[in-house]
Amino acid sequence: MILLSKLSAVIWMLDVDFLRSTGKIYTVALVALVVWIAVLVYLLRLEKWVKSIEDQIKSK
Amino acid sequence: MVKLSWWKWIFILLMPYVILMGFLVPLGQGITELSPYVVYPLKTNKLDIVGYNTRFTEGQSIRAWLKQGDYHIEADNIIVRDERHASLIFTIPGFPDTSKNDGDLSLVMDTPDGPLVLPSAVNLAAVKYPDSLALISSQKWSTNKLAVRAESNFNFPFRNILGETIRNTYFHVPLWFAMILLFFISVLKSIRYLQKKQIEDDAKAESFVLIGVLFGILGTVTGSIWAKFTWGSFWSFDVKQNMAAISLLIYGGYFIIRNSLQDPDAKARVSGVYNVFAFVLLIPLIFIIPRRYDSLHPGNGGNPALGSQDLDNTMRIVFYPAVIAYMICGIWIAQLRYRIKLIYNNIY
Amino acid sequence: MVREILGLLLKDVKTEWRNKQAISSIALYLFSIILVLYYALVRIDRMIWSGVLWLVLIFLAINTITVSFSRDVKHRHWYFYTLTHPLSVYFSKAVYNLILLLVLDTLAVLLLGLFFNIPVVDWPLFLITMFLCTSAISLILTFVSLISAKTGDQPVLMTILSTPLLFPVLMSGSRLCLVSLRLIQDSNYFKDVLSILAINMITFALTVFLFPILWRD
Repeated sequence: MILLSKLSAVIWMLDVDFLRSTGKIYTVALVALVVWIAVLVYLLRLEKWVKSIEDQIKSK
Repeated sequence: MVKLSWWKWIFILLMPYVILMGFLVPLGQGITELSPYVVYPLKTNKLDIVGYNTRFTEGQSIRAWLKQGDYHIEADNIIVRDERHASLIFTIPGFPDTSKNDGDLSLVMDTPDGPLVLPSAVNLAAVKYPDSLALISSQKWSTNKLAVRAESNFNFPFRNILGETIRNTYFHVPLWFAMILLFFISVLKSIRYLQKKQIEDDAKAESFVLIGVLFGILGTVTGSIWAKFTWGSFWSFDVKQNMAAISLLIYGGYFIIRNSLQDPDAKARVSGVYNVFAFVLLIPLIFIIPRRYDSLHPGNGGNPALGSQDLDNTMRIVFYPAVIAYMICGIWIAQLRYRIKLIYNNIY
Repeated sequence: MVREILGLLLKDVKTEWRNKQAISSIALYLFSIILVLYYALVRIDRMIWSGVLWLVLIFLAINTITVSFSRDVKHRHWYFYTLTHPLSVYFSKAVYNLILLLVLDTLAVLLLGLFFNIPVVDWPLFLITMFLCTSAISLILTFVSLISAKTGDQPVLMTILSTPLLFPVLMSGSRLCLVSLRLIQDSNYFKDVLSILAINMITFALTVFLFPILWRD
């Protein structure tokens, strides 16, 4: 009985949406950002490498 | 740091915006459960509803209506148990339009946070009763304008089957838009090659087709993951799913042709012709045919997608930048591949 | 150019008539398939009749067009093709394949009727479907076979390339077949007929534009 009342209090304590109240949505967003940053870093390194080779070819 | 073109910066700036907005904006109010499903005329019907992101206890001015077409009838009483649970008491004096016996009613609620709509909420049982009894009911069907307050917060709409997965719209649908754009650019390059016979155009066409196919495969995979959670299985043989798979297979043939020819000129010519052929086939396959069949995809089975039914205004401000960001991403990756290809060809 | 088409077509038909090589080999294939099916299934319910028919049709189509083209890869025939407009080559081949496929399709339906049954209820729809689908298949597969002839690795390429391209025709055609068997009630079947007609016209228009570019060699 005590458990039930505690549970209902915990779940609807915050007056924002459900997923944010469990805190898990921030994890998902962070993971997505990390993945995107990894892709971006890879693309930028590729750009740098391609640019250097192109400059070498041009200078020859 | 590398010096990048201006359009690449647009991608770098838009993508975090899309990811953050896509995940962190809360969903609007909705109703996840409603029982019982059938309401009877001339009886006291008690509908128990379970809401999502609702705050029934805040503010007492909550009203509810059952609506069919232009007619609506208001609830006699609303009993609120906690923030998400409530019971609505309705008495209904028969069908609103006595010429039609279609019993599908929608539920519309007015809360301080804004309106709450559940389409096709209940079914009105077609029970015969003598006309004299109709006068007993306290409520009458009316056609006045429903007085609902506007949505006060910024949130994404809550749609019944989708729920929170509506956020996937920002990550799945732009993949397809980017794929169409990449294929279109490759067709332009192929046509250019067939007119001017410069081998760089063929290399560009090939890179764009490759990245387009990559985005297409990603779109299919993300789509089937989404389908698993909303439609129940990974592959529902939905028309659009089938057509997308067929289009990817047709473009696979492009690479098979390129692999089996050795002479670069013949390779470019034949694959260019096939590219145009495949693209012109793709347009009716993906756009026109799914519209004529009933489909699970929102926006098909009669209505075009991106209408006001499927894409709320709040979603548009994240969706359109997402489409632009994905398109730029696709072009960037394809351009990089083309440049690397040129480097390797030059070395040889 | 029409005269060229007719001339090439007549040449193909005449060589076929004298030397019935292609049609007899495919007819033999067909007969042995139906025999295998008879031994394996003994009875074909009308539930699966349409599926069996379509399997046989696809197999027939791919094999016919592969055979009918591989015979031509000899210098003698190639010489004729350099004299004429590329489109007349294509159209003569397409019409020739169409005639071949129609004959073989009729043979397939008759053989299925001989060994099993023909549960077709709506004959006009069935015949229109067969004709439209055969013409679409013939147009598409002739185009693909001419592409793959350029590469020299013909049979494998033909099969791989033609399978996804045949899917739309297959989907609409088998749906119409089921409707003509009255297995599904679809009062709006006309959109399938229209879509096959559209595929025919799109392929026709595309090849008129693209084929001469492909053929310049």
